[in-house]
Amino acid sequence: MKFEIVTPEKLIVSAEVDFVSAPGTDGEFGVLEGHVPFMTTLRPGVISTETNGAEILYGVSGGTVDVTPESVTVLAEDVILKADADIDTAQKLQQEAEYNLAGKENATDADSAHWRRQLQKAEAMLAMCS
Amino acid sequence: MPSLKDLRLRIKSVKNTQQITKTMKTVAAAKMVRAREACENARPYTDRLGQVIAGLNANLSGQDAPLLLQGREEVKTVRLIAFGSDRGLCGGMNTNLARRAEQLIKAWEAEGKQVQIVTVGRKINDLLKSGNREKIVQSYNDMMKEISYTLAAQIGARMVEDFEAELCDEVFILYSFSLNVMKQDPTLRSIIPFKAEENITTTDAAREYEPSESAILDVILPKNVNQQILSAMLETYSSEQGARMTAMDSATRNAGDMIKRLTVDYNRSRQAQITKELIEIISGAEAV
Repeated sequence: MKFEIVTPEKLIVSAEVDFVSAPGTDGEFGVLEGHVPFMTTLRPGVISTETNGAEILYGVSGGTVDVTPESVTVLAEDVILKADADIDTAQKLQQEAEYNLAGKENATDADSAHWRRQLQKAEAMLAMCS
Repeated sequence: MPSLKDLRLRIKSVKNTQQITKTMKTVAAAKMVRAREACENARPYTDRLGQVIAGLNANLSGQDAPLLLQGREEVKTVRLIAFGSDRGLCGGMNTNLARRAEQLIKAWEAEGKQVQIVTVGRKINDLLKSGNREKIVQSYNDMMKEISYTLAAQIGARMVEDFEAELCDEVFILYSFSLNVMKQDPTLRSIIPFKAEENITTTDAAREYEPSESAILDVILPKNVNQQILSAMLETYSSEQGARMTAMDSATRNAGDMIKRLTVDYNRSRQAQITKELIEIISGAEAV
């Protein structure tokens, strides 16, 4: 089945895969070809794909997945590839974001929206490192 | 009649100008290629988001649709985000955008709505602030150098925040869509509430939504606002480069024409000078 990750700035990957597992908001799920169509939101974590036994990992900060019987399409704002995952950068970013978000977890202003996104990005990166 | 020296200097200075416009054209052409590429790269995400939202929209009954999707019933304040370039020398692009913006503002005001303007780009800000200074609520300058989703998201989050706070009831973007190198079109589009593109193909098939349609929409709608802003920035930047390319091309051609004319003048006066000197010598010789 077809697997795609699309970010605002470009198409990250478009490939044939056998199996996809992704971190849905309601829990981790796996998709094989012929899955019932559904759509869900993602939490920060790792998406893994398998093609002929070879596994590839992508860190995502959130977004949505659209599953049809013949394709899986991920719309994510930030995608972290294995090569870009660095634990120091991630921790630094996480601390900075947490500092800036302290006390306004539910605020909806533009600044907190920015830092919330950075925090999710950091979490995705940490998930890639572990 | 200008002297020979004056003409020589004129020609030299026009030649210098021609060199500059020619270089600017080449640079704009190279930047344009990159800008188009960025536009193309952003396209898949924009399209998918649009499809997903249009699909959800068709599925959702009126009342539970989020405000970002269906909009407020009573529209008192309209906000226009006008995109333009940061730099000049790009033909009539900014003027066209500004003219269109003025028309829109007039039309909205005629309907009794309040208008707020947000400008992105120094030149469009300069053009609009002359007549509408008090309406400009925010201006973003020097954004076009490094367009990124992060920047667009900052503007987008601000718009959503103001919409939620009921500072504005509708948000439109006015940007320059680059049809091709020669043609740039001012384009208006509503980003709050969401309006699907006309030629959109919804991924029809019924599907399950987890946790729920509205939960997904809550996540996705603000992202769509950001993405619309990003593609408006990319399109405008690409238009800017295209417009500059055409403007500089005709400037180079005009400079060429001017050099030709000046050279003819120069040769003519040089010839006249020689003839005059000859006559002087000959009549001097005759006198002896």
